[in-house]
Amino acid sequence: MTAWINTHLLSFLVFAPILWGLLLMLLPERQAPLVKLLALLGATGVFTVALMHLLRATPDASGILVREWSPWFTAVGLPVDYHLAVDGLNIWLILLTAFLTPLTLLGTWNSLERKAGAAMGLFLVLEGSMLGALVAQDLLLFYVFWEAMLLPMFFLIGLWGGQDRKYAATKFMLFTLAGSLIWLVALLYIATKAGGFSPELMAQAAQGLPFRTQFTLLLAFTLAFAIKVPLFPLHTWLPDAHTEAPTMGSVILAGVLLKLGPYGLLRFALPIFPAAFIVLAKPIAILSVIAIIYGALVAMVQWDIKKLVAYSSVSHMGFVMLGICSMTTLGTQGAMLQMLNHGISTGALFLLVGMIYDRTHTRMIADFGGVATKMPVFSAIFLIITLSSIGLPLTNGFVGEFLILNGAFTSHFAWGRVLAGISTLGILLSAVYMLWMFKRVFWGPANPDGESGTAHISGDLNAREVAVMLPLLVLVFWMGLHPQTFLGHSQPAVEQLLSDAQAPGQRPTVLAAPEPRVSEERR
Amino acid sequence: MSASLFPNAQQLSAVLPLLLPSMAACLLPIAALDKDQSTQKWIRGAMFFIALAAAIGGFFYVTSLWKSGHQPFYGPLRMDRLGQFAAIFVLLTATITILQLWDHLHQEGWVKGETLSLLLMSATGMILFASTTHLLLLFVALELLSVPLYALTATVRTRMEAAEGGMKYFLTGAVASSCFLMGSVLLYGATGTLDFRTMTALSADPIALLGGALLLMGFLFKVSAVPFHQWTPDAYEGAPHPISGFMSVATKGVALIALLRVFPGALSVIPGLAILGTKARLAMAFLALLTMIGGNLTALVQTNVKRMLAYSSISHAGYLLLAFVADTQQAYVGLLYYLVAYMAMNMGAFGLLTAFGLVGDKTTFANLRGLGWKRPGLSIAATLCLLGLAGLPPTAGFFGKYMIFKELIGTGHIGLAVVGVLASLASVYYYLRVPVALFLEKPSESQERDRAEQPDAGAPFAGATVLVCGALVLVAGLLQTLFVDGFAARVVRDWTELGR
Amino acid sequence: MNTHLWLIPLLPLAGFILNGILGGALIRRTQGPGKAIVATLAIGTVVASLILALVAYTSSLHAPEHRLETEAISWISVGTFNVPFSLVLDPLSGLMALVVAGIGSLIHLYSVGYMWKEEGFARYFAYLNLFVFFMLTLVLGGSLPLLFVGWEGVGLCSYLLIGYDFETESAPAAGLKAFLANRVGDLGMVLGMLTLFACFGTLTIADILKDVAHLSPELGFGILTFATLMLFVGATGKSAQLPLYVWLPDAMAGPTPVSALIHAATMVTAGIVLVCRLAPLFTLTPITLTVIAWVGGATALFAATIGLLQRDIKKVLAYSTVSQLGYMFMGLGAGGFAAGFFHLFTHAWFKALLFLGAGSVIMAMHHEQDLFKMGGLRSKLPITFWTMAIATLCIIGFPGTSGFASKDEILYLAFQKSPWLWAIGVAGACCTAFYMLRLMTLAFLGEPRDAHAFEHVHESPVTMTLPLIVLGLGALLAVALGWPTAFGGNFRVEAILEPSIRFGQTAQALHTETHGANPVLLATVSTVLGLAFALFGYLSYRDGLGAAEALTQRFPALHRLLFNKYWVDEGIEFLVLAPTRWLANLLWKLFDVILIDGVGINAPGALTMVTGDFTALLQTGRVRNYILGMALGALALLVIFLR
Repeated sequence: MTAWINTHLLSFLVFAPILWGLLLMLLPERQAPLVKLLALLGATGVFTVALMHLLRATPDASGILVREWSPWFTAVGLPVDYHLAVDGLNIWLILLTAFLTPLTLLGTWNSLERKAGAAMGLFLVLEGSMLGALVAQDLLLFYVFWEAMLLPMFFLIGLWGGQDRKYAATKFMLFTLAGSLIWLVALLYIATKAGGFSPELMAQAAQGLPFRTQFTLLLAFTLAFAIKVPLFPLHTWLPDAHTEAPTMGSVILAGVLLKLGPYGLLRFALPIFPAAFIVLAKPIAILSVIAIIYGALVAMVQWDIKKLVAYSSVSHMGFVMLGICSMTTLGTQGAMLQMLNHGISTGALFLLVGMIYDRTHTRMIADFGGVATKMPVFSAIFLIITLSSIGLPLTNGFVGEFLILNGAFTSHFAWGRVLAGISTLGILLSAVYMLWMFKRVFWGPANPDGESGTAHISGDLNAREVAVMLPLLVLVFWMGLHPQTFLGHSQPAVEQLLSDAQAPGQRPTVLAAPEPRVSEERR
Repeated sequence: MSASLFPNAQQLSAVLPLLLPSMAACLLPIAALDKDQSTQKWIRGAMFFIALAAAIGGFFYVTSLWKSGHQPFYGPLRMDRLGQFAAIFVLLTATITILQLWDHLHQEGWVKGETLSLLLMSATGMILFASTTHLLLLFVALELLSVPLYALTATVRTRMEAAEGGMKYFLTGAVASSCFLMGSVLLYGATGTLDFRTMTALSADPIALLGGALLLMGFLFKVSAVPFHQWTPDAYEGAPHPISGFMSVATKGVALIALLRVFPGALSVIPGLAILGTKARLAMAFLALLTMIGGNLTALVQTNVKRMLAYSSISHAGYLLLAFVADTQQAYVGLLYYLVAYMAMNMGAFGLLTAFGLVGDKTTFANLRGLGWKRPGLSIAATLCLLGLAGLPPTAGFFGKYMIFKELIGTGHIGLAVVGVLASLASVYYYLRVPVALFLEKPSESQERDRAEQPDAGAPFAGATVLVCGALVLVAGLLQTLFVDGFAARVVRDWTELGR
Repeated sequence: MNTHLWLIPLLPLAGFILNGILGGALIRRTQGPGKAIVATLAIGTVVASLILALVAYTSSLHAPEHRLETEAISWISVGTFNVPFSLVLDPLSGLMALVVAGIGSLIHLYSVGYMWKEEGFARYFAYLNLFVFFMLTLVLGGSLPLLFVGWEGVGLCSYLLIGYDFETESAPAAGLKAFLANRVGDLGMVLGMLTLFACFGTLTIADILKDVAHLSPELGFGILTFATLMLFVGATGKSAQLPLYVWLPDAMAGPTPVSALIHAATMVTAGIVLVCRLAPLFTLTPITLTVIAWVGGATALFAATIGLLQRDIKKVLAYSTVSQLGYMFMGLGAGGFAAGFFHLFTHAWFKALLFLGAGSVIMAMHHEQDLFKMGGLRSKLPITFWTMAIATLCIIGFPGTSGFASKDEILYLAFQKSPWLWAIGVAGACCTAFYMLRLMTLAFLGEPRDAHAFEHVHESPVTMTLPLIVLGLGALLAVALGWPTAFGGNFRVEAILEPSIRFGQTAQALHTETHGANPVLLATVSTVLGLAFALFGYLSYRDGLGAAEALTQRFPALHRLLFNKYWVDEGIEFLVLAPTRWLANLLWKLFDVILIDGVGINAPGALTMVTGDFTALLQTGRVRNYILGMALGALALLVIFLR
């Protein structure tokens, strides 16, 4: 087994959760407790394997840590590779996914009244497909996983969601598909031109195309990714999905799913169409600044905590996009870090909201007030996470945002300074809506209404819930105090990426159809 | 060709795939002779056994032929790779149909021998239709496959829709076949031969073109492409579920294969037809557009699952025709692959209704509410089939669409491709309504009561078929290399080589 | 080297962690002893870091450039962007560290008595320790981001401590207001840092200052002006200058010791520290200096006028603090960094003393803060009275006191910048003198206006009075650090601060020549006026409120204007907050709900459905129509084929 894992680590990471999840879904409902336990064990196992192997791996010449590469199918002409790889760009996102999954399972242990087992099975399937999308290096493979992610999420929202779950789930599905189908056409176009689905081939082919074509294709690529981010004005599926989804859905949606948008941009769009990307970066940067301000303003006037956090995600992801579009090492590194920050902070926020929802079955800010007196530990943890999400120094949020701002400010993009200046407003506004919400929910006199949420609070966090939050808290400060742990891996990758983008042409090309092989450093 | 009445072994091997089902078809009515309505169980069993045996026997025979690599022919009947593919395709579909029929007819309380015999007849006609280039044989085959279907559509005489559907199908079908006949006559007149293979140097003679157009219309009717599609929903709604499935899959399939045989573009097996091919491609591009848009849009607003599936099959005719528009070997490989996938997906979708014993007018989305939790495995399999129809990865449906669209884009029909993906975006919505109804929606009190009092329709065979189809959709998607290289690609390759 | 510097901030942090995690439980277990342990831990850590700071300071005097540095520990480093953790102890940060730790430990001691009966005893001390940690990080931080860590951190602590009574309505609101007002300033800080990084490619203070010394001319000084202005915006937020001062008066919702430590002595002076830290940079940008001077002056007068009529004893002191901070900025703006810092130094002592005194009064009056309900407390609270009297003399600039020395130095420099600035300063000083005497008179002299409360009044415990006495001595002795040269004294503080104010500078200090101004004359004028107003204040409240009433009757409009603090809060609510909320709602309802969701998504969806209905109409169910359709199709085919 271990030997097999050593040689097929990535396949294991991707398919173990999927198969395990499918298996669990088949178990009868009355076995729910057992299923939960098995799901948790599985997720934890995957995380441990990922942690042990990925962090031990040493990069090869091209910065690849682990790689699995074999022809998948050459059906009808174009060769499609089964090419999985981990490098500086995705290693931490992979670990984040594998890390959040068991935590989420544990955090929502008793949240689901009915069919909890099935939900957790589905959740593992979702994890697997997300990991697949993260490690896939061949664009068709990526596309397959990219779409495969939708279904489990659709059913998670649709089956265990709130009131408007059908609307939210369908909206999520169609909205995302609309982007990715258009993208598919562009993908097939460039693939037929390139005679394959490997980014290297496509990059070469793209250089041959007239600029207009490149730009159009890039637009199609960006559309799909921007919807996932989500970038203003393509963000409206997010609040609905977040609000209706069950806690586990919201956590993983905010924690990982959104990250695939920026990741896709960095991994595929930028290397394939560098010239066009440099041009498109400017309008996207403007949109992301709009997203920062807009998301924050709208978050300010929400009365549903989940919706508030959802709009805050729009704002935070705006920072990520701004960092990427700055086309500077600083900004991109900041974006990489900010993705992790957002995953940790917002994921934790949704977990916390879920915890109080389990107790009170309401998420309306007005239903609370004076919670701090009833739940001191909870409010302390909530405060820390809030502070990290508004980017207080020494927490993770600050480093990412500060790097992004510096990157945007020093970018070649003429308006970079103006945009950076405007987007600092986002830092102020984030404090406004988060702390305002915190004040209304936790502080002040206890809500007098007997039917209010505060009245229904039975007790403070139990050991399980604290155990879920502790690792997140540790990470919040770790990332704030020693971000190098995370920046170190991505630094060479990002520099390589940007230097290639600035000077396309002399990028390394992998043309020969590869033999089935695995990277050596496993032994 | 030898003058002896009795075909030699090689010729026999070409005919055998036709003989097996047709003989069984003739045998069955004898079993069905006894007039007693409540036919004894064992007789019914026997009938179904005979039918299955014929279908499966034929299936195994053709597969062995396939393995051996022989491509026997008997006069104009050419049991080459393409024909063998068609035979396997049809017989497989027939097998699944028979299995589902057992359950469905019992639910309808209408177990008759003739149903099976008609089914096998039509299957025979389909195999013939797909394995000849001789116009006369083509017409005979067309009638042989159509007439039993008219009857099958109306087989449950007691139901109003059945009779109505059958009648509509018959009337429209008559028009189509007459056009087909007229077309072949004109072609004969223009070229002086009935066999396409001998229609050398077909000039752009208006008569011939006219004939080609009429001929094409006959095919497109069977493919149920807009605007020759309007019989489809009515016929499907009236027919027993498995028969609807059979029609939607096998008829469409063989019609396309025959089209591929007769109107070849890239694989110019028949040199003379180049001009017809180009014209036909233009026409198909135009009709495919209409078909995709019309089919999907109309499917959006259906409340009856069967009608929805009918329109979905129409829209799929559109996607499949795109392969002819792209007109490359790869595209045709994709077409054949997609046919296999489509068979699994559609039979699974129709099988769902049978498996849940939804008969008569109980086939609306509302009737599906909350059923998913009663038989999860089955429902998940059916869901897979529908997602396949929607073309979501990693199902076979996605890869089928992928292969066709790739070639389409490769040959520069970007516009068509964009329309195609947008149409399939719309289709996602109505396909999702089934799983939404199955899992997400709660049944109304009345439904709860009905389900409580009426016993759960077991439908073991139908359930099994659905599971198999679901598995096939997934497997064919994940192991598409197996299916494509080992199957579809070989058809096109060997058959074209044969043509040269 | 100098690793022990790290202990100076980290010890209070340790105190915070221990008290924060264990303190509460401990106290719940064992009431009294638990509190004793918590208090000892809290005080112990601060005192320890005070001693360490003292040691470090003395050793720094022998170090090159009077400067100790810790080695840099990597924090953020991306390509050329390097921000290490590193502490610097030079005269400036050293003195500040001493002030923070010194006054901090006194106030910890004071708090033990003041907070003893409180529920959240442990929480309070944890926050207080955390504050000391952040404040020390702020002053010792060797790079701007690290300074910013402390900068935001103290903001957080003040937020938490103001909101200490979180069950009430007012405290959380005040805390939120404070944090947000500070955040506005912090935007300035961030922008300033971004600009500086863009200019110098580093954010380490020492490197920036070195580069400043030999700055290449092509680097536009406009951008430096922008950077410094932005940094000053940050300063106005933290140091409660116009227009961001609004949070400080509300901050009085916090416990009084907190007001003394955070909102008088230390945190609010962070702005001054920042400017002094980057003095060479600011000297390069005269425009910024002018802005600073005038903003400071304006704040000094503005706040003082509001202070005239406040009834809440703490509010009076709060506005007085704002006004005094204004003086400090006035000094900085006039180019007298040492002068500004000196006033910070003296002010730290006497203002902390005033607050603690006020706290002792409030506690004696059973949490009554309304001056009009006090009176005649002198006999009952002798220590409090006398110590506060000392502080009052200092703040009104009674000749010979430390306040006189620092303030008159500033006024002198201000006159050289512009006589008008000086005039404003003097006016502010007069107001100061008036409201301070008014405060003292109302609280301690005259007849008790609330006999019942007066009965139970008694002097505070020694843990509270001891700090008062120490602070009083400090306030008196602070003068030793500098006496204006104009009066033949030696403005020692300037020499002390020289290494840090002119760090890395090669050129000689620019000596502003006097506009023939006679310092002694100026001082006399201001002092005489001040004392006159002090007398006025005393007389008008000596015997009850009668005189005050009369004045109110005579100038009702003026009274309302001042009493309502110029309606600034209402103005902000009406002009800034309300429109923002309105805009946010508009965006949400208009863009998200109507435009994007409605027009962008649901409308096309609905349209598709409608088209579907339409195409469904074609399915008439009539065979003749079917065949008609087929015929049309056939026609189309024929056209295509025969064309």
